[in-house]
Amino acid sequence: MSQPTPTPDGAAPLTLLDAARALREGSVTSVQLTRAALARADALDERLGVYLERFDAEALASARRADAERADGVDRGPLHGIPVGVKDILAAAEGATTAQSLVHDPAWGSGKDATVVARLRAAGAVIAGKTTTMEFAIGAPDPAKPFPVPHNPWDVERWPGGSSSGTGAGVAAGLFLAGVGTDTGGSIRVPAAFCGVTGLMPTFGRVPNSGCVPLGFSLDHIGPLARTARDCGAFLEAIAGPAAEDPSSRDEPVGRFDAGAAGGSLEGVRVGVERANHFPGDGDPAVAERFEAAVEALGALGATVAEVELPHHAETLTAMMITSMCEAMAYHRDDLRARWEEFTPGTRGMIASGALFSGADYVQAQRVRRVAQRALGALMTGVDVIATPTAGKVAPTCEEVFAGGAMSVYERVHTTYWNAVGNPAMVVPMGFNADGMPLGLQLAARPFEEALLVRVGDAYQGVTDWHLRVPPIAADLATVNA
Amino acid sequence: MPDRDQTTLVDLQLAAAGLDPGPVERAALHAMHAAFAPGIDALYALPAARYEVPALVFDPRTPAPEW
Repeated sequence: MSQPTPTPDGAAPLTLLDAARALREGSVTSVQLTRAALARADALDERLGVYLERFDAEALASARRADAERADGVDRGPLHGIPVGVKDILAAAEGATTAQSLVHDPAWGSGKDATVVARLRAAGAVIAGKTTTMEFAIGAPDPAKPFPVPHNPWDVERWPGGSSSGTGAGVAAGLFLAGVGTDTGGSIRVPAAFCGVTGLMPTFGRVPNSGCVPLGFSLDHIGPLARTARDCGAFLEAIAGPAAEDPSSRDEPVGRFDAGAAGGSLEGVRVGVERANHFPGDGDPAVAERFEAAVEALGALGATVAEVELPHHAETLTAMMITSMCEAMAYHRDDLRARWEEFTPGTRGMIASGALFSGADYVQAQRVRRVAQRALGALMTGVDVIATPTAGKVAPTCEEVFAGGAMSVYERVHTTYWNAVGNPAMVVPMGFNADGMPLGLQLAARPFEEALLVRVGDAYQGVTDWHLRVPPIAADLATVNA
Repeated sequence: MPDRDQTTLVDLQLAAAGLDPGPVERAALHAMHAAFAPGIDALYALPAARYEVPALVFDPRTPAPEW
């Protein structure tokens, strides 16, 4: 997989690092990459609903700057000149942040960059636009609201997952090479799994949350979605590190997150496999089949594999739900009181449930999170990575999501445990079900060991090509390169 | 099916928060509370949590300027 990987239409490299290499070699320019990305959006976005707002003029100006800098010998790193999407709960100076909500104050963050967006800009990334989500990153999309409804590139009748919906769909369909998502209960990892791309939720505190509309203050993680594990590692390197304006951010060393990825061998890596809580009776049979194949592949790469069971699993999921709903309720209570009807029903119903827990319940949930952290820490002295499926089923149809709301989706995903404990977790594509819909393998590591996740994900992607599959809707696109 | 006491409790909690959802959404919240109640009790019943410190840290230093 070391050779540049063109898209089927030959318009541009498929992965961020291939594009970065092509830019350095001079075989493509940032303006060409950006024009190709914008042309893809012209052709596809009416059906995909990736963008809430595009910044075409600003993006092309940024691309021209990147090309000029490169001509002057300036190299800002692998993101220099790369078009990226930004989930629209993060502020960007080009336009208002909507949080896909009629309630959100349009003046919030006006003219400012979230810390992450500022870091992307400093790394030379081209901010292509703001991508779709669910209102305030929770609930379910609402076709009655004046915002695009995101669709899955693998089947436009299906949902791409949420809440980083547009970012996941956009990477899968090639509207940009990578993008920013946020993850409070699975919102990076679920779209990654449902759209067949790679998503990395960093350790809590690894990436500052300043300039991001909060959902769960103690659960929110900002991180990348991209085609490959290495792409995610390069992206994370640009956005990681403490910031004074976010007191929850951690002063941990930021190195090369792909430093250990050379060679592909997983000799010495101990993988714990969690089957106990992750195979519901009504799950898609392809999930178990593809998961077992993925575990076998990790073993064949040299990893030792052992059975594990996540400690205090049920209690930790409850603690996470109480925490997220109480924290969201604190942020939104006054707007819910005054503007209930303007909220999306799925969003207001979920947040309002935060009123049903007591203050003591919230504190007890934080005690249980500590208990889970301690027990998990003990478990992870014996294993380095824990592997699970990301979800029990593939992406639901949009109609299912509209009708069933968020709970119908949360019941099928296995992501929330890791938000409660704060560990990093990565999703890599692991195959397809009988309907041709993507499935994701979830890998979790000890806190601040994202580099190990990149190493394991990269090794797996060295012997599989699921992550390089392109949905037919994008593969049929005509060449649009400038 | 939530019992009458639970229903009353939920209605009081919603009123205390100043929320007045319509009947369908109110019923959904009643059902959600009924579904969560055993789980909440289980958090208090967890022996390992009896003397645990919550994952809350207060820092007395003046915070840095907001974003």
